[in-house]
Amino acid sequence: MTATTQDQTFVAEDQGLTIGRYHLASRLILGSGKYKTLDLMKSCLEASGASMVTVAIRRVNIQDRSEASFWSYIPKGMMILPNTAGCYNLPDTLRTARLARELLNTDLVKLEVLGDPQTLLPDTEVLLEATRTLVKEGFTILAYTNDDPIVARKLVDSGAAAVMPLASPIGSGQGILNPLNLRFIREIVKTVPMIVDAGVGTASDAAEAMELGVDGILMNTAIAEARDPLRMSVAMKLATQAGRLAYFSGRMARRDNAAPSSPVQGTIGVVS
Amino acid sequence: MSAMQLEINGKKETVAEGINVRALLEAKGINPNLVACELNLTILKRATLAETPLHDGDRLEIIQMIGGG
Repeated sequence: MTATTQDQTFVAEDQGLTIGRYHLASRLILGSGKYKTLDLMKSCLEASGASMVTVAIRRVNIQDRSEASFWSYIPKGMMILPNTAGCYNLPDTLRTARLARELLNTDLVKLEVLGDPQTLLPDTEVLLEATRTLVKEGFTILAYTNDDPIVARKLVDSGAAAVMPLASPIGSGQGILNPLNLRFIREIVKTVPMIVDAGVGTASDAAEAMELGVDGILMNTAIAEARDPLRMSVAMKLATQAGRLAYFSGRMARRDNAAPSSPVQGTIGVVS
Repeated sequence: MSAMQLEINGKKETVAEGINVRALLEAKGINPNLVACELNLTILKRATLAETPLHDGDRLEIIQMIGGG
């Protein structure tokens, strides 16, 4: 029972994440796409402990209104983060962000400006321009970006409320491909949260990201496409907490050689 | 009553002349509180939908939130 108390204490010590004027108790942010059913999505959102969920902005299907109930599957009290997913240029990005603000009565937006449909990698030039424009309009911008430290710095300078570099391409589940760049970004992005967004495949990827010292993780496919999404959502919650604890615990130094954990004196000797 | 042609979410549609945006949404079974509208590229405030008449040739976008990452 002592162990349980200790883990609850350590987890509770984490004050969570502040993005602009918003406070999130959990460092895990979830997407709401690709779930087999909306009931399953809701269960995963709840089980993950996430404080924030991303949504996409799309045309209403006039003929088929089956999507109209989507909102009722978002757990009460969860912050909604609209995204600009699917935008490939500045006008579409600005238009989607402004429509999202009117739709959801929020100034939060995840800016996602894609450069091409094969890689889904961000067009960071347009992203920076959109950030500058929308910051002036009072938006709280979470900027989905490449793992490029220079772009990360420019996003901070442009007024982004959070910088969100990818671990690997959207939906690829390849984990962190360039941990060195994420470390560089961590050193540059000090005044706003750094959140790893996209590419996490399994719990160890989430833990690895948190161990690098990032402030949060945004994921979708890793949970939605797991064989058992509900269990994976719990795994991600625990991995995020574990990675955070490990980061604050300070890992041991790496050595080139082995170092015994047991005393080398007093061994009982060779049987002769 | 005469009719007019609109483009709603990219599709041509014929509706009764003089209808306002809110009445159009309600006629289609769309809850105005769950969508945002853009008329000829200008975003409409939800509170003004009932006072916004539609005209022949107008382009109306009706958007909602759905699942996404």
